[in-house]
Amino acid sequence: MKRFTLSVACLASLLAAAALHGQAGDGRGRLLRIAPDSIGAMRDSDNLVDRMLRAGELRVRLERNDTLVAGHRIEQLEQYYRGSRVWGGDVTRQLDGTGTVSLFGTVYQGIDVEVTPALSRESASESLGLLGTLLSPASEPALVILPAEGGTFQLAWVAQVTTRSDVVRVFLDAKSGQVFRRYSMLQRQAANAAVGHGTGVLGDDKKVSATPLAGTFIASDPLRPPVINTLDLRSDLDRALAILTNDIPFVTVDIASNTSNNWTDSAVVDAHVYAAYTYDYYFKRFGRRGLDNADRRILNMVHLVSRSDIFTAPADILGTFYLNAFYCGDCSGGVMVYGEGLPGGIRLTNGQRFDYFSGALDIVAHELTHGVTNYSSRLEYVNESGALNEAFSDIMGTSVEFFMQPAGTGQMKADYLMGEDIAVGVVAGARDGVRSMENPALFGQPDHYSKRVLLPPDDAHDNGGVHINSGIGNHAFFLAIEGGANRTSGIRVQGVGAANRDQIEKVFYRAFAQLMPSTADYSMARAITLRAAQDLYGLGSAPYNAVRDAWTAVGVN
Amino acid sequence: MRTFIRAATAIALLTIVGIDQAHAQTAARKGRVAISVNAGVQPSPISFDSSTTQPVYLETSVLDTTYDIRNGLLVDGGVRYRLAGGFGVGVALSWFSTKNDATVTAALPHPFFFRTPRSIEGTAADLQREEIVTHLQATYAIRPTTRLEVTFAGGPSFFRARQAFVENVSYTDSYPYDAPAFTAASSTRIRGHKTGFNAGADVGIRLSDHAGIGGLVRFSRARIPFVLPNGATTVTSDAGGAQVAGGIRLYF
Repeated sequence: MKRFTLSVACLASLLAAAALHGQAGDGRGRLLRIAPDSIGAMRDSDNLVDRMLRAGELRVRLERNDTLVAGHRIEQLEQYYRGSRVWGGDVTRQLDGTGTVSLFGTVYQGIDVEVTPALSRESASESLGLLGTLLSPASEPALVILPAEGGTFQLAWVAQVTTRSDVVRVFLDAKSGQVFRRYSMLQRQAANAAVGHGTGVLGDDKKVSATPLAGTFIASDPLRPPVINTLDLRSDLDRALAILTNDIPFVTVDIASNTSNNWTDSAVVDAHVYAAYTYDYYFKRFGRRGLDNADRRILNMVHLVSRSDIFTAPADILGTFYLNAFYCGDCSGGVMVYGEGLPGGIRLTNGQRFDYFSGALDIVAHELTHGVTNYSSRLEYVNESGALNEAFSDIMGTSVEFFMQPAGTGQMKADYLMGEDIAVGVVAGARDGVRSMENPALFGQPDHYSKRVLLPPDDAHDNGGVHINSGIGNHAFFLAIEGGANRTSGIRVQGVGAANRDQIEKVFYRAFAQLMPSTADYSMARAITLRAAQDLYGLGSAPYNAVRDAWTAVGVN
Repeated sequence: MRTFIRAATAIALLTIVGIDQAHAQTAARKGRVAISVNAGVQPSPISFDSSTTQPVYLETSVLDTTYDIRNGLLVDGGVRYRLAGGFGVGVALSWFSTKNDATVTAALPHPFFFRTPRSIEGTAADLQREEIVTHLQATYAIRPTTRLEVTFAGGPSFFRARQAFVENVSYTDSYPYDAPAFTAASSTRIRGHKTGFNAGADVGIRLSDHAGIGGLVRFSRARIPFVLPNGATTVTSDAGGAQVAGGIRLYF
């Protein structure tokens, strides 16, 4: 689960594997971190990648033309060992017409593991079925090689399983059938053409792109390249869960509808319109075509529960479907779910009132960005890579806000607060929003790498603090644009200025959505964003220097 | 235009003065009816604008068109009847036709956002303008020589005009819908009518007792209202202008 509020999850072995970095093999496996910083190192790494490709140890997962630098191409490669994918082994290679421009990734060497499972696929499915429902299309568990502690590797069955309030990735030992790793996959935020009129959560007027159908209008956007559907589950949580778990497909009657094309259900309006705005931002700023860069369908869900039922809702339902928003990549082909918020007059003990989660543009863009990550870097949603995953969603969420709304403070204004449009402090001292990129400490996040939290990487501890440590990356992004001093290090940064914010947005987009491997940590994120800045603006350019100094200021070297 | 009229008049008079003054004064004086048939031009430029609106994407699109009417073909025919002395009455019918381009600009609402109009610009080609005018005239004729007759005329003119107005524009528009491109304009012909005035002079040169040639210089004007198809918009345009024509004359 990738949550907006405090959340869950982990991948403990990656921590252990990370500890192997730089160690020579001693009969056990060796993690090789690829981030060459010289021409010679680049040549060596490139040769290694080529050798592994020829040997079938690396396979091309994605290959695309670079939308930001003409003539460049991006390859995303996955590591395999004797036909099974090596979990966490992947490389992103940037090429121009003459050769390799950059390489980042992680591969494992010295793998020695038996690849014939003692536990059959059928038995694994049966065991996993006891936990919940296996998600299609990967409804069968896949055999993978999982890096484990001490430089060893384990053969495992992996699958995603839905429970009533979560979607979890589960790794089963392929010998014993025991669950030895499990973490949440919901990426959460702690919205023939007929243009209709809609009223948003904050009472604002919006145009709603709808489709006329049999005398009514449905929330299906026919004007943008991808299908954008917004489902109104009408508080039928059982049906919602059946759709999320792919037990049943959604049908036309699940799509929100309106007979007059004058939309007054504000949660529907904002989910539908803000998802479309986010698509617009990605397209106009980066030339990206939606979630998978190929106009994959965007699906929103609202009203899975009723506000009137909140006082009888179990805690897990309250935390998932009322006070949260999330993206689930394997649910119904990828879906954004927006929480119902709190009934009028009800507030949390921290003094905040929560409205419909789809009512905040940055939250909607945050969730949709989890989908972008899902189809690009696939940053593991645990520990530092999970924090980077969260940070990228916050960065893009804020960027969409600045693209679509005037800068300022308060509701419907672009700022560096996350979720301030729907999380409003209503008692003295209570703040608006749930995170601050300008001052992460306001919401308990670290603003410096030295203050990062080290939590167990499981779903009881926010997958290793992904929603906490994201503050470091968030603040680096803020400093690179706005400049200023980091409150912990005192190091000052000369930002590019708000007028040039698109430069930093492009650098981070390029780094996170084009060049980054799935197990990147903060140090690699620094190297990759600098590579991206160099690609786009040149070594020593103002954006390059701003990004470099921002990472230094937040303690990432 | 004034210079042009003066020059045409002077040329006509100089031509007349050069004609032999010794011919058939007697026969000429017997005729009371003169018929003229002319072809020529109406070179007066006329410019006017129209602006129409219609609802698009929950807002109002605005279509502005600037029409420039230029030179066009004029065909004119008339009959005069001499009442007494040099005084008489006459009636003439003129037909003017031309095709001109118009400049079209439109502000189109955005399908996704309120208050974010998109602008397109283009040209509507070959918009036809047609004027049929009936001129009632009081006339006064003088004969400087036996072959030459100069007739001054003036009076009310009844204008009927047809103008092709740009009704709508077509454009290509694709995601993200920020830069539509003009492709064509559709037009519709609207009729209008109005009473105006005319004043001018006709010069005839007899080549025989009953036939001759001649020239015409006339200025007529009216402001014609055209009611556009939506019924709510009226566009007013000048009509007429200077006319210069030449042709045959028949005397009875």
